[in-house]
Amino acid sequence: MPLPLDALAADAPGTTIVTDRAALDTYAHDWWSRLLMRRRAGEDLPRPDAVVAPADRDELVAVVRWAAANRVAMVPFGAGTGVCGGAAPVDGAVTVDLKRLNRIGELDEESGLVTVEPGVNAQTLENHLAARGWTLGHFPSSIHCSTIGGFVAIRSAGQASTGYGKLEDMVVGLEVVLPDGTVFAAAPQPQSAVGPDLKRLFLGSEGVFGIISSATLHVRPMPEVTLDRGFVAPDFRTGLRAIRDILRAGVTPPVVRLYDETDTAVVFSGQGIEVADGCLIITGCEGRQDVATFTEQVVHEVLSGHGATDLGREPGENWRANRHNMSYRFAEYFKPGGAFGDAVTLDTMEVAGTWARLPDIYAAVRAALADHVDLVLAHVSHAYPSGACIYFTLGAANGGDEVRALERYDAAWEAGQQAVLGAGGTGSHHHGVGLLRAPYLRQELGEVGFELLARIKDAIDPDGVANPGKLGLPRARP
Amino acid sequence: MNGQPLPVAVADAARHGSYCPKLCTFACPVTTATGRDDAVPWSFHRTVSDLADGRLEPADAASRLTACSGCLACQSPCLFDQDIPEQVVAARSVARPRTDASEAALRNLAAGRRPDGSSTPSPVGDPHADVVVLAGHEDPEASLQAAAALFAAAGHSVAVVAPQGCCGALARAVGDTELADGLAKGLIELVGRARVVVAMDPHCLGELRAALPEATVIDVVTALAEEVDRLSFRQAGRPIVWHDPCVLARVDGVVDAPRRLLAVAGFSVVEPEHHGIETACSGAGLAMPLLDPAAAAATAVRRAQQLAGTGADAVTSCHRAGALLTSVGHRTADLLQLLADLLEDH
Repeated sequence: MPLPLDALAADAPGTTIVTDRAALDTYAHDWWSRLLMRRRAGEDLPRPDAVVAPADRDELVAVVRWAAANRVAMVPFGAGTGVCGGAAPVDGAVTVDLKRLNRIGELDEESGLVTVEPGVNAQTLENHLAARGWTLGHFPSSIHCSTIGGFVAIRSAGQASTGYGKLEDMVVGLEVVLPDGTVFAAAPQPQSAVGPDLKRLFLGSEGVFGIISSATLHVRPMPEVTLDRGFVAPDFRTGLRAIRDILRAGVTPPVVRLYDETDTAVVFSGQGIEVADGCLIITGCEGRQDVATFTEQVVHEVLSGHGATDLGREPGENWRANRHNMSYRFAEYFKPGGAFGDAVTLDTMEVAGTWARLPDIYAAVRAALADHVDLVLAHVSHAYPSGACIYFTLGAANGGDEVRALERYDAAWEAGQQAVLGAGGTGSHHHGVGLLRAPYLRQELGEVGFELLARIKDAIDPDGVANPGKLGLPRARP
Repeated sequence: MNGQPLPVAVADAARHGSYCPKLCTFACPVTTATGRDDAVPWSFHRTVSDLADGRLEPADAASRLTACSGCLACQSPCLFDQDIPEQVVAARSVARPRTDASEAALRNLAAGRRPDGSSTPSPVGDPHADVVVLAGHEDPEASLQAAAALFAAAGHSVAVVAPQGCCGALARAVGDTELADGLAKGLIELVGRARVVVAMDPHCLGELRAALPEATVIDVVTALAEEVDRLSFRQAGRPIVWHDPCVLARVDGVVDAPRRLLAVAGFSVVEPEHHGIETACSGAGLAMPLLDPAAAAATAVRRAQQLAGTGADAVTSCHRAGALLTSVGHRTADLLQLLADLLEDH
């Protein structure tokens, strides 16, 4: 049935409606490697039936009401750089491009808050805050190309998350346009005990419960100093214990990273430094000069106690100066005729677990991935009092065989996800679910947990118009 | 569908960029101002590569090639020095995006008139001078007079001339390569034997350097800054904010010279959010006001807000930028006229 776009144009006159093929092609994939591999193989990817781009929040409400009235499914789309297919188009649906909702509200310096619309680019927000002496403290490697709405929708984490938390920890207020067009608003509060925290229902919801129309975020003054440093731990397991003990000592350096032996070799050689035996640790301590200095002293003491060698500032400062380079080099590796030839398999898999289980999770996932791809790198980049995230990079050269590239990709993901779940970890730390992890959600949440998720979906979106098929939820409930 | 005959290096760069995860999105002032997906630099990579590989017909690509101002902000963070404006211009030459305004401008240029239909200003100064100052297609007659006055005050005899229509840069930006090449040929006769050519409009620098390889081509701000010891100004004694023209700042790295000139004239230069080589675009470049006036206006509004945030009067040497910023309500003075008015005994 054709989409009733004339009615939408009448209801939301400021909304851009796109139906020409050249434009729709750019919404045919987000940055999920599997979709990119299919495009690289020459496949004509399914594109949305139409893209609508509301000019502001009221227009977004009008779009959602139009969709609800006409039972048109909607796929929210920010920058289109999510890596799990969460913004991939759905047959018969419109993609709702949120980039025009890009307003940054007044900075409330008294409370350290700023309210932003979902289409605000994260680096643009950071530049805006920096010009005023403030920071969000959220620095994922995708900061240059992602939107705040996308970050909220997938529970993003940045490179300074050990100190500042994940983005979800910075959300103190939230507004969401529900699938029926009504608007849920959680006013900014530092904490509350008025029943369950409903806004958390939407953090990580990937659009299946509605479309985020604004978020109020906690920001903080720009740190006075940042002190970066490098160490080498004797081995990965010792490095894990050392990081745990830094946090137990009562300090929280924003940046704590531990690379396994293979990743260490890659990082060191990438910096033109002779490869050391052991596992590289990068720390970044910041804040007021005296606080940062003290934090670094504690970090040094704890790491030394675990037999780590201090490498000085250079590795840390090199890491900070080059921390986005791997993302910028993605095309060099991935494109046809790239650095490793045609048809490479390339992706990342971030998982998490408690300190007690992390060594087993690391070993199990690494072995599972290595059964299917040529190269597995791993590093810990987000640490918490009870555990940490391990970020795996998987790569394989396939001699130009795109079919084999996809087969190895699928096999590696299946094996890797089963390994982490089998070892008692969680299948995603901060990239989300989308279509990629949809097959594993029931397993991870359990039957009761997944059924609860489905019941909530039914209650909020009985017609199933909000990003159908994502989060492992069926497109329509039986 | 057959692929379009784009230069090999351009097509390869676009293919590479089409697999880059949109990392320069944050840097693009047009994307930031409009929130439009077709303004995201990656979208240009995608469109140009699809055009080169025959996945997109020129007619389908045309509407995807308008929202770039050529400011090169996207190149700053790129490890591969991607030149998106070059890719956009190459694709425009085959896809031929057109609006009524761009068609009228091209007709006027072909007839030897300025893009807005006005006639070419008369030359100013000494027609036999060794130094030729070349006006851009939007530089008003008063600006030409000001340039002549400033160089004269520094003890130089110069010829200040405007090409018939334009130097070719505008026609090339719109995608009419044939017309651009014809206009550029006219520069050789216009410049004559001059060994030094001074460009008033920074957008002309690339075209002039390509068309006049024997000449030294510099911008007017740099040329005047070199004469700063010979110039004597009444002191303005007030703050001012300099809008760095994108091409001048990012391609030629000219950021100190205008500030030095303004300081000598007694201005205290205050800086806006985004300045120097990190300047933000006015929206005036790469024919965007002709091909996509909505994107140009939105980009100008955002830049105007940044300039207004300083509380100081604004000035620039790029008349295209100044006119666009003024048109969205932020009066932006012309550097040459501002300085000429402050010349002692002027």
